[in-house]
Amino acid sequence: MDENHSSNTIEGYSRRQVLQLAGGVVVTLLGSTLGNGMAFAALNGDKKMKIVILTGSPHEKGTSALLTDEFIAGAKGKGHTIVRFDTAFEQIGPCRACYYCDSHDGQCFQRDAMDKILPEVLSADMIVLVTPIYYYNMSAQLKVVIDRFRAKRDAMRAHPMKSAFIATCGGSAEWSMDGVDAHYRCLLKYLPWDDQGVLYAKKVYARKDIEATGYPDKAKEFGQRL
Amino acid sequence: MKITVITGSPHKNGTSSLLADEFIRGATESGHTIFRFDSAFEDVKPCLGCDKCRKSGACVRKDAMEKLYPELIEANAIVFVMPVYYFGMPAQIKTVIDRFYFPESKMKGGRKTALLATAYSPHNEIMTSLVAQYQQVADWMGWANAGMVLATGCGARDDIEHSQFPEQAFALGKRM
Repeated sequence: MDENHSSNTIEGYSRRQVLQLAGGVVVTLLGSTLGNGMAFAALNGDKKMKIVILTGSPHEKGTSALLTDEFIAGAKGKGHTIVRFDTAFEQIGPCRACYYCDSHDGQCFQRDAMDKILPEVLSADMIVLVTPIYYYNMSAQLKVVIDRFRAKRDAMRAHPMKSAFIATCGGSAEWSMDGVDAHYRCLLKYLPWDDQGVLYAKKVYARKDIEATGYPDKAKEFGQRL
Repeated sequence: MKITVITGSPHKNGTSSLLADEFIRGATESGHTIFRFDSAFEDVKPCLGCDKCRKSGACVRKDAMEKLYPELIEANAIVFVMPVYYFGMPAQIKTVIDRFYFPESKMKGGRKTALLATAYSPHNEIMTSLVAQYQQVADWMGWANAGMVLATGCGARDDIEHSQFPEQAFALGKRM
């Protein structure tokens, strides 16, 4: 089965794929220049964690919401604390790249839900991104949040934590998740995040599709093994 | 040809807008007609994934996409111009692309596409995930890649003005 890769396997695979797609762009590993999250691998040990979950789906009871619920059930069972933000139901404006934050101590000029999300992210032991795949990447709703990390970029890069990525898509092709996986791998090289794994659920367009698969159990197990 | 250019930057005179300007200059010189849509300056709401468009044939959202939709359907080429934010497209243009869902079947096949992107980082890897997504979208839509301009090391207007990338953008427009 290919839906729950170990980091090493999928990293090797997707980088090769991406190089192919990019027409053989020569790569200088960002890991060597921008910091490498793996250095923090043993950070939390058996400690009970605060896990911040950012979901990107506009569906309250969709495929990725089910995986989120199951992941949370698993993680709560291990005593971890969960802080969940369903970004599609929050008011969040896109980054305007005005650089106001650079001269205002990392404070964005926009007053919105990022005011509550960023402090939670910056005090978390683990971050989990959950999204349906829209046009081969995370939903725009979740990308808004990622872009708004910009205001706290120094603090984000100085805050090591564990991370995971969970995504669902209707497509069933081997390469359906390549674009989003390449994106997550790049984030891991830039931010000091220690990847705990990914769960990619393919060929699940609607709730009934995913309910008939083993993915919900996998999501729960994922939460349980933290 | 009719070329629809979709930009993603919130900067009116930034690095990627220079690429858009130069691309458009080249394409206009070759006789093409341009429709430009600056996503960050338009009112576009995110896709709700409600699937109502597939049943009723209309999107429930009423916003600037209503003027873009005909330009997408009638275009012979759809061109994306953007800065890289966190290794991907800015949320503003991703919001527009997510909304392709409604007219998707009328947008498929028989079109060219191109990508012009800028990034502060000088490393080529900064572009890999955006390029991967672009290629996947092009494959899915059945569009032919007409070319890419990947302007690395361009954090500010001054950087790109002193690079070869504006010229590449002009040339790409010219040969569309």
